[in-house]
Amino acid sequence: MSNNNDKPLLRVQGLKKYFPVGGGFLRQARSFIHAVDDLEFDIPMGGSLGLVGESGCGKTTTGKLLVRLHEPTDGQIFIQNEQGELEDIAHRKGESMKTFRRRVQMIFQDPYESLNPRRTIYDTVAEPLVVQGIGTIVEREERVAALLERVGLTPATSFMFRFPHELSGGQRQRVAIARALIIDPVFIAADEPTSMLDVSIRTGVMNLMMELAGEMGVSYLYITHDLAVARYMCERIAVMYLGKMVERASTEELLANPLHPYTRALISAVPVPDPRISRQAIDIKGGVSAPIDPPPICRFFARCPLGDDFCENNPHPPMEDKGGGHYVACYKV
Amino acid sequence: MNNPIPEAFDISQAPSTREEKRGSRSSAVWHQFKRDWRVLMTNPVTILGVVLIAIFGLMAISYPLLRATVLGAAFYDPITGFDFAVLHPSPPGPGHLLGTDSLGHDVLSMLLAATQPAFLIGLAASLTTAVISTLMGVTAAYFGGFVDNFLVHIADAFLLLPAPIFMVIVGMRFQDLGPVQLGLIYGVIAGAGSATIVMRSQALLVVARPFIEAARIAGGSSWHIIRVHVLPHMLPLAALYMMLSVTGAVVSDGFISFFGFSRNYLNWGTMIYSSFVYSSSLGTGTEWHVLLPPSLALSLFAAAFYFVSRGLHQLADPRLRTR
Ligand SMILES: Nc1ncnc2c1ncn2[C@@H]1O[C@H](COP(=O)(O)OP(=O)(O)OP(=O)(O)O)[C@@H](O)[C@H]1O
Ligand SMILES: [Mg+2]
Repeated sequence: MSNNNDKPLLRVQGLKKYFPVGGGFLRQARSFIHAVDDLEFDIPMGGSLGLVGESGCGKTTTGKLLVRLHEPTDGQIFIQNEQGELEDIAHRKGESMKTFRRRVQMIFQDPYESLNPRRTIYDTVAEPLVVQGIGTIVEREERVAALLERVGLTPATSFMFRFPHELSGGQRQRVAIARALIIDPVFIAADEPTSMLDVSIRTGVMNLMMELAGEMGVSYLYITHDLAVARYMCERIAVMYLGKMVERASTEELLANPLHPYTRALISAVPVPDPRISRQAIDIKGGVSAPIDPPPICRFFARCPLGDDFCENNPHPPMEDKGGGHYVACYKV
Repeated sequence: MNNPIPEAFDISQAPSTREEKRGSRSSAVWHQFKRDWRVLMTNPVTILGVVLIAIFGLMAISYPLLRATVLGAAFYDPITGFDFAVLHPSPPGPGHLLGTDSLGHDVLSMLLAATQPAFLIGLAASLTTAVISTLMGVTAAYFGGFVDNFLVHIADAFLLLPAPIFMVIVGMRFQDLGPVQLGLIYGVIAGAGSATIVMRSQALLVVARPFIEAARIAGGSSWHIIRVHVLPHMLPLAALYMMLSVTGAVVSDGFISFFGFSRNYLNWGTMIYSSFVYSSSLGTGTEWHVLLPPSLALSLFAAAFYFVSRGLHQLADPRLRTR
């Protein structure tokens, strides 16, 4: 697949997800939460993108769109197929959807809820192989055992037939990682996979994810509200604010030279080397609101220190390349 | 179906895994069953339930044998038998172990004769309840939208139908209905009404849990997800409603008899009814030896199924297991 390095593995264009508010049976919803509004980004083969932003800005929704747990309201999600061609999977259904399921996986925030308590570790990790009809029982078992050992659950035989409640949070998240990797995906969306874990074991799980992604050539989207984590995990970082992407650049560039006032606030509020940045530190002025039928002007205007008449009378600014792939959506920089 | 495994990493170093998981799919199912049975049999309440059901089962099976041997038709037939040697009602004694009622019926014979119909009603009702409520509740919760609305409206309609009263009307109108038919009718009403509403809310909780999303990402079909991830979590509640349905159906059946509508089979409700009615009309006072056995049988019969449902609950939720 190395000959396709010029093409992105994943390309998102005009991606939108609006959730209806207050609609019902035979009744059209009149308002919509613009949870994800017009996103545009690429993830290169083997690359990684960190998605940061405060609570409710649409990070999880973006992740779920990419693995098609949600169907987009609008826009395209292109992903390389086995032949290395970009295919739009935004509205896939049925059998072709099932094939696509082999290529993308997700790791969830809460390892206590993402493993079925009724099923053994083996059942859980082998599930993608079973539903996709890959391998015989013996082959599946060998593969599960090898992967469990690889994610640090050794000896695998002592874990395979246990239930999730017999494992610690960190061990469960390792099981979730094994499940995500078992069918050899090309892309993984990881939704704050360490935020529910004890601080002392986070680094271990993060390192494991990075190592395995490198070894197996998996690209990933790493969702977090913690800039320090994104910096540690990702080559590139994208910042979201209320459904909009406001800035996107390589990690070094974004941290050294943040352009958008929101990103600057994020970085200034946060001593980056400290791995324990709290959500409150992100706040600028005003509180977080849900983007329900937002006015068509810049989404950040109400809290922006730079906003003026021009911003108030023009649509949300487009993402603009300020050089070297550093994109920002602001009229004032 | 057996595609080769993509070679992502070296599987030749895989450690050898436990032998018992190996082999065919059916042996895996058998393994699961043995494991479940072992868990069930660690719960004393469940054992009690199983023992009680076994006793009732023995009563049901032994009755035809006893009739053919020691309980001769002339003296002991629960409808036509009459023993001229004793004065009725008679207290428990050597000839009639549980005594006789004011009409000369042998209480033990009646008690035994009513066991098999109770099983038939309970079985038909509980299975129907479980199947209908699980199907409707899970379908509504999983697919949502129009399907959900449609099924909830049906359930609401059934909810307005009071099962015991409906049963009395049915029993009055169709006096030749057998226990299985009555059980089925009760099961449909109970299952499509309240049980569906509760099963649906339980299914909504299950469907919202992230492991369902994980299964979808794995590529699982709706059927796979419902079967493997949703249904096992419905088991305790389904078991509970099966138990309630056994109780409800057997009691409703007695209810029909209580209103004096004759049945073409004997049930414990008729015995309870007659212990009051005939004794008061004949002025003999409440016949405790006639009232107690069927009351006890009815209660224990209902309780036995409840006890078993406790064990099923534990099975469906491994966190409750004590190891
Ligand atoms: N299924 C849904 N139905 C309706 N609204 C939803 C749904 N999922 C998310 N939302 C809304 O969309 C917005 C974005 O939610 P999302 O979960 O993507 O945020 P997030 O960035 O992941 O936040 P957090 O950091 O708290 O996890 C929120 O306002 C949320 O209320
Ligand atoms: Mg989230």
